[in-house]
Amino acid sequence: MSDLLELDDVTVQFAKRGTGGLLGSREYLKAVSGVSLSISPGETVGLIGESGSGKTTLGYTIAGRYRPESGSIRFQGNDVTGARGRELRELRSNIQMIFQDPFTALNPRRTIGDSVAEPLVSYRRLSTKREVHDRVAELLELCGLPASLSNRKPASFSGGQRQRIGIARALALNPKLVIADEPTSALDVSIQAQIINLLRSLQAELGLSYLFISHNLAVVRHIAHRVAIMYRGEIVEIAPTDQIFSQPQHPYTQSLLAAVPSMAAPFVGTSKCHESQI
Amino acid sequence: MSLTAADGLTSGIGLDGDPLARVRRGRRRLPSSTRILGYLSIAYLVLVCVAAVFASSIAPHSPINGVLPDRLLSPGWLHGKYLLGTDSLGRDILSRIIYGARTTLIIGFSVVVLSGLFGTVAGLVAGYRGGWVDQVIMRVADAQLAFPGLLLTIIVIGVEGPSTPVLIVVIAVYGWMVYARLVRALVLRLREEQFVRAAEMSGSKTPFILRKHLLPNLLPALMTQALLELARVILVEASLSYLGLGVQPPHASWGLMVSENQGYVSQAWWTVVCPGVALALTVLATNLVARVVAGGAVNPAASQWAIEPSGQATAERVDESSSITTPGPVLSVRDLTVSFAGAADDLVHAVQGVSFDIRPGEVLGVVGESGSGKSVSMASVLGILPDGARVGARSLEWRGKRISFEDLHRMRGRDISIIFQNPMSTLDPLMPVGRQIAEVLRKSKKMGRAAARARAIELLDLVGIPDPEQRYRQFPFEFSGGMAQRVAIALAVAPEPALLVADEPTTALDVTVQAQVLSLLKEVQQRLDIAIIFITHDLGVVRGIAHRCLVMYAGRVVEEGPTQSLFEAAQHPYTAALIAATPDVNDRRDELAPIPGDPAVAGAPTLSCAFAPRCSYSTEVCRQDLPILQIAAASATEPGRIRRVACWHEDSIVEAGAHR
Amino acid sequence: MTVFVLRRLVHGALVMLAVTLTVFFVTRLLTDPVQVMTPIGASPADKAALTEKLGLSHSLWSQLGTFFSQLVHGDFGRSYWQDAPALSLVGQRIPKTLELVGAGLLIALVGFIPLGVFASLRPGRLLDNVISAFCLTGVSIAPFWLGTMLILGFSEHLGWFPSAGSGGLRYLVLPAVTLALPMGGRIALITRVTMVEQWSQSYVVALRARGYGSARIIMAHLLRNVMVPILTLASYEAAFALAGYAVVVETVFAWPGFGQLAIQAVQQRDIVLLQAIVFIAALFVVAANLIADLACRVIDPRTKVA
Repeated sequence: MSDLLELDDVTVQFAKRGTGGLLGSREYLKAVSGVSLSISPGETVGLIGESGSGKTTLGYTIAGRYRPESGSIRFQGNDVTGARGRELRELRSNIQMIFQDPFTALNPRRTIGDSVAEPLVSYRRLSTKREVHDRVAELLELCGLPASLSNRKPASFSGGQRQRIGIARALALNPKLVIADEPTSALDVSIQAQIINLLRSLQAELGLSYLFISHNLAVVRHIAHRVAIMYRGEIVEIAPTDQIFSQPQHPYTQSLLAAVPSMAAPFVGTSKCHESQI
Repeated sequence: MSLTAADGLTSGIGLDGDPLARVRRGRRRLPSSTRILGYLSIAYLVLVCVAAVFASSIAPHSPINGVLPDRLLSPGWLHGKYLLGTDSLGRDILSRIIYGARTTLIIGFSVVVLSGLFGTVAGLVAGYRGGWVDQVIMRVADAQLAFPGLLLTIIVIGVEGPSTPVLIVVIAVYGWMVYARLVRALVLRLREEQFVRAAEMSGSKTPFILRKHLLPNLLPALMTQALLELARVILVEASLSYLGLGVQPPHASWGLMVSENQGYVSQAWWTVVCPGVALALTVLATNLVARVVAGGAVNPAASQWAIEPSGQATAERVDESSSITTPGPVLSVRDLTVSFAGAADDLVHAVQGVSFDIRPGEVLGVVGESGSGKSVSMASVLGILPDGARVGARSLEWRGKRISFEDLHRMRGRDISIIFQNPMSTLDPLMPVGRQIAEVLRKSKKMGRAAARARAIELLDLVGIPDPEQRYRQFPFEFSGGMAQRVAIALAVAPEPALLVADEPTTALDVTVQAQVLSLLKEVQQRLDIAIIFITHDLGVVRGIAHRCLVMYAGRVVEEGPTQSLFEAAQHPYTAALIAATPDVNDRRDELAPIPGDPAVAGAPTLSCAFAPRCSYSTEVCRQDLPILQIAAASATEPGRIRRVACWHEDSIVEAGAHR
Repeated sequence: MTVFVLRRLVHGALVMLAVTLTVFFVTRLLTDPVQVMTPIGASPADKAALTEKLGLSHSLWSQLGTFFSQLVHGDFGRSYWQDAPALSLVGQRIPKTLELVGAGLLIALVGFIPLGVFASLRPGRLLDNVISAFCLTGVSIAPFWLGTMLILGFSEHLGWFPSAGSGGLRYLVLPAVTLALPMGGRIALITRVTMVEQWSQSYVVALRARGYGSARIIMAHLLRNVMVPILTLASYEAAFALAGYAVVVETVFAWPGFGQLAIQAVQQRDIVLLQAIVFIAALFVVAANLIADLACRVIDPRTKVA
């Protein structure tokens, strides 16, 4: 099965502020360093890392926001490294993103219908307003929201609902790959489970691939087929999910797993005081 | 004027951001006095504009031709010909004021429009394109700001001659920078907003983004700025006219009128006072309208938590002689209620009837999702409340002795300490951390400077900060998140309190750091035998640190008991569902079991079970009556493992119980 | 730190250069200075003589060259109107303007920062409304009118203070107050806004949670955090005042500072003198900004890292 997305030795760097120019040679910070990764159609790859690991930068790079310094990115067999202009627009219609904070990812002044329709409008995929309206309704229902709410503003929705709206927007252009940047980190536990299940069912129904970026190992376990662990810009380990969790090879992966507060950890025991009656 | 807690509750206290630093989105209602003044100001300005436009019809006399014999007549409000008197050339002051308004407003609006348009475009381009374009535009703006503006204006006018177009252009040239900088700053901030990024990533084109996303968010600030600039320009034109470099005689301008009649001010005060008042009122009105337009932006958003030092507790003061000090819970709270004004001026009942004990050396976990009231309840006990919140309790006991809320507040920093979620924002950013610890020591333990410093260094070492002597002098921004939280822990344990309230202390930290900080807390707790109230949404965390747990939902405690019993055999459907919904690294299940619907939002007091709509066990009785928190039948027979549940169907869960 | 200071000095020098060049070109290009400086009935011979005297017969570039070479020697040319070295004429006036602006700034800071602090303690209540109204009015009143009214009241009717000129402290009071009111109003308003913002910051809540009282919080913690915006504004105010807004007050009170000199120079069309005045004013503006920047860096160590 040919890969949908293939990254080969990708490096992304940023210039350090206050260097270069008159003050001496320019210094760079490598956010992503020599990363190779592939995603197949219909697969979810989990990308785990702590803050500063470069996982978000990697996600944005794949989505075309940053240009790699070196290395190549191939999408559906075509080289799209550093795509610009029309090529980038083409790429973006196939790769969409879901963001972490459902509260800031939607323009508070626009109705959710307009927000979901925006990609359709900007790519001029559909010709009439009616068609756009219908497609928006279809997308909202797909994500578990009543279509009748499309003329409301984000403020009247809960966090979980807003995240569903964000997902609906991401699906508007029928992308092949969805990059989910910590999509559940800002949600309550009970809602988190709803969103994870929704993403799974959408994948089954639409054949989507996901790059699921998170710092939460437990969540990733429930959605990813393969998991990549990132540390300081590099991928230190990548393996099928079960294998990562049961037989972690890299010391960093092992320390991560050891640090996660687990639901199977031993209890701290009752306190040494007696119970008192209320 | 305060932030309503409803926003904090619905948006997830502790889950998506520091509850202490939430910035409000949207407008706040202004106090009525400001609004009234605002409306009055708008009315006045409209009046001035109308007068200016229809000057020729409204002005009773000619502003230019005076009747010399009528010079310096005092104002004749009741019967005279000249309502505000005449000046030294016999000209009617009122008419001159009206025509002066026209001149001033023409110049004012022209300048604002000209400089505003130019500045806004420059700011948009600079902010959105960035790069060298931005650099160039900003350098020019900065340089121009450093020019001695008024002097150069004077020179140009002096050289070119004071005609209206010259005036307008010159003043405008000195105004565009303000707009450019404002717009650029706003654009830069807006670009970082997620929804703008989302639009970019989903392929929206730049003009579309500018139009639909940026401009609507820019306009309010621009309006305010334009109004402020108008006020400023009016003053500049008046000053220039006063100096003889603006509007020239015989035309009318308020500034010119003052300078013309300055010599006669002692005999004919009205010739100077009237135009001056007109000028002052107009500028004042413009400034006031600017404030109203800015609305909530002028008064910055208050934090989620403010503190009422005097406390607004309504707990009854119980006769203290009846108390006996017994060795028992450190803190005992019965029927705590917290309510505050909601966004729609209704009353939000954030906490309803919460009771708990905490014993010496015990860690009590308080678990819940957003809207549960977990943070509010613990914070309110200590007097960290949203503005205007009302707290009440049936009883409060400290070590067996009845006390009031005020007593509890006085114990802050001595017997009770708090750790917050985001250490960076809870330390004074401009004071070295060591000194902050020393300050606490000197205050709570009355230590001398040297002793406090030494002990502070000891504490820094205790919490695992390497090189404590060196780090003593460093500022909070020089620490990483985990290190800063360690400092916060040091600060909290410095006064050797009996009770520590930890509000989501590890939520904002990386996983590996979280584990370290948790084990530090455990160590410190055991070593110093401190009781801890540990608030969190993370079941995995609470499992490893808490001896007992309270599970909260919609402002009430739904289950309470030893952590192990809770996890192994939850009695309340919510607890069971929460455990089932929590993903686990060691779990081999594929599907997560979500809870349908959204967590209940605190609002009106609940008279039935708040979880019923989402509960798979709920029946009619659940929707009618409120279940009381009482000892669970199943646990009544297990000594030392008493549990309390608030559910009509507690027995049903025992069978189905999640065994984890 | 050194790098920072050097960078700012270079920047400042560039600004001064730009200012001087602007005046240079404005006075020579926008109009014919000779035309402007000679009375209407002047003969061509007079005009030619004046042109020669001012060096205006040479090309613009050679004039520029002469200008710079003179500049390097600190020679700004001779004032046409007063027939004295321009720089020394301005130099005589500098102390007076500094005295006025200094006094005004002092009153504005000492009198109005506390006002802003008090207003911020209970925002929306009576004290705040009164103080804010007062400050807003202060900012809205035209300085020249205020000065005139003060003269009317305190000088003519009450006879407490002289109405014009300078001499002892008594002469300074009214002009300084006139200058201080709008400055102070702005300073108080920004103090209030910043304080209110700081009160609701998390670290203040945390301080309260450690049992600190308001007074201690303000003195030991808040003031330092509030200082940066206030200092920035104060320096802007000083700079603007020095850069020209003192002109108006100086005119009302006939205060012999270089602002008043500028007005006279404009009336006399003395471009040489004007160049010198603007140069000095720009120097002060740059200096004020530099001092404020340095002070901010000292107070807030975070700016070093930026």
